[in-house]
Amino acid sequence: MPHAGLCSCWGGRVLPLLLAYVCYLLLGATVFQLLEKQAEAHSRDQFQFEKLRFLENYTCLDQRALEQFVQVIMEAWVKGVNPKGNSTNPSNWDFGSSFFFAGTVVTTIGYGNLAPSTEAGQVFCVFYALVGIPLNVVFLNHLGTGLRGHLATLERWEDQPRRSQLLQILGLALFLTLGTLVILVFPPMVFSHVEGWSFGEGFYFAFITLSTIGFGDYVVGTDPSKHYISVYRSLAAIWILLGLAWLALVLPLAPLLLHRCSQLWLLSRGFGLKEGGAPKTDGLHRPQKIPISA
Amino acid sequence: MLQSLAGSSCVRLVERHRSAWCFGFLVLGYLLYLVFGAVVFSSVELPYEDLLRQELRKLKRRFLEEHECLSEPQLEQFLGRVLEASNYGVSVLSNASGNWNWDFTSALFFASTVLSTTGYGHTVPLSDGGKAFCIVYSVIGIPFTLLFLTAVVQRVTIHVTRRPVLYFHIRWGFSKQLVAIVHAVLLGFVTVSCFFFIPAAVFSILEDDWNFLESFYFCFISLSTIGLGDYVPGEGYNQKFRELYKIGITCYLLLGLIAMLVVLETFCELHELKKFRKMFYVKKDKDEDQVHIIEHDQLSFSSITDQAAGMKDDQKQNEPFVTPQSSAQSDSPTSP
Repeated sequence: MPHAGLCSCWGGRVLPLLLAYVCYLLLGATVFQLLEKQAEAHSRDQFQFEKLRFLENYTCLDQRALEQFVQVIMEAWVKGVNPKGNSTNPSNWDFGSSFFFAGTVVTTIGYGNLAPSTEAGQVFCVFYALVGIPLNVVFLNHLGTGLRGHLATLERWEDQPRRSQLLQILGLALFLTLGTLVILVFPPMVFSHVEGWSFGEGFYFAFITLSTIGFGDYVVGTDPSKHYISVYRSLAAIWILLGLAWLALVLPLAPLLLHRCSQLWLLSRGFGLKEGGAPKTDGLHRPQKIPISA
Repeated sequence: MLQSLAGSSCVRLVERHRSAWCFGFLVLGYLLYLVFGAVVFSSVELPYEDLLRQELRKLKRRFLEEHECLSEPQLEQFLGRVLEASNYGVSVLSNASGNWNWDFTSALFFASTVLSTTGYGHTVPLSDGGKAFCIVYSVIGIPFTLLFLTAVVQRVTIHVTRRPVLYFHIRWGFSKQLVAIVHAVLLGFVTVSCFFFIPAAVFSILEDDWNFLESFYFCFISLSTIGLGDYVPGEGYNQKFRELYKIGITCYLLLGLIAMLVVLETFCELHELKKFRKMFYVKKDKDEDQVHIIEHDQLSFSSITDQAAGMKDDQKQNEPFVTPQSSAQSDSPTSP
């Protein structure tokens, strides 16, 4: 019966929420693109002009000219313009990248390799985040809660034979391992293959991203000398959301699972169900504190 | 009867003191943890940074020597190196040599931005050891930070939100919901002016080329823990008292984060918002313990607020003055 309630809830409440969430992301991507693209083109043109002039008179180059030149490069770099290569590089604010940026803002990752440089873009970014962050929290919360509610049906274990308990815990372990493999281990390997990082760097990138720290020293899809498929960055943004939801599900589950395993171990050691039941209530109180410290 | 009452009050006193002691140790441990992180980061990263700096200087000298026969590929190569270095926070400009990115105060600032998951990215660990340590440090440190913030926010909220609302409710007999709404809005305004407008004004004075909007943008990006890192204070070339400034910013960020969480929780406790939030959650037909487990979410603001709300309901049983109200309030996480 909790199953049915859960399903109707998933259909009735989550779908509009999901829709609103996706729409909000798309809206953000569009507005950012509109606001930033021209400024970026301007800044890029200016930088190209600087570079050409430098090349023209590099025979009479001195220290100060070089310093000024480097300063210009740095400023351009901070604004997300990569001076290597030519002006036909893919734009930083095309749709896929804007989507990626919106995703990093609402999840509070904030890589910083892309940042709005116009005043309008900055103001919009503030208000976008003001609404988007709570929305993101509610969304992830709900995703985690729903999946965990499914798993909580495993709570009623006392009236089942021991063999099916073992099966269930094996199934749960398989589910968790597979999910972790598919969501947390496999994508970093793909990223490190595509970007030419070592696996350690790929893992570091995944960790810095999913912990929402987001330094931006490693960001997918930024190398101008590589040709990515067009949806690469959007796929990366979707991976980030999936990973965050998975973490929201798994992290609070870990103490519960540990407790279950220890209880099963006790059972297999030959303690009666009564004795096994006693620590259960104990253990259910404890995770209230553990999820935040584990 | 009297004996048992006295005993229970004694126990209560001990309990409360123990909580205070634990809290003190927690604060101390947290500060120590920050300092420890700063020391390790500093010792791991400083030599590497020095190496990189020397390398860059050498590269630049060589470039200057042979710039008569400069060609496009050489220039591109040079630019590539410069940008790679600037990505890691090392500058080749001659007047930038005074500031170290990994001196102690900067490392402290870095550690605090890692633990609050702000992550500006203006300085990042360069060596493999630094990266590995960064992962381990934050695996332990981020849950620790959450625990710490929860404890602080819980205590602050009692004094800032619960008590004043209750006082106005009892003293003048206003309706509780009305008082709560007015109080939440007022608190929001005060916090925004104290932690956004005033610091933004200060930053726009202290930083050379930031205007007020940019400073405000920086404050917001920082306190929402987005941390884009396009504006980072204390990175100018000619700033005096840089160490003091960095420590001040670190304190500001932590205090600001706490203030944001307190405001957030104040708003979350509003009856209307609670109803709104409940709309999105699964209908509960489980007992209270499971509800507690299920409601918590890692790495998000709401986890802290929910946790704090749960804890407070427990703690309110210990406060005789508040007890009459607890029945009215304690319906927060569990009522259908």
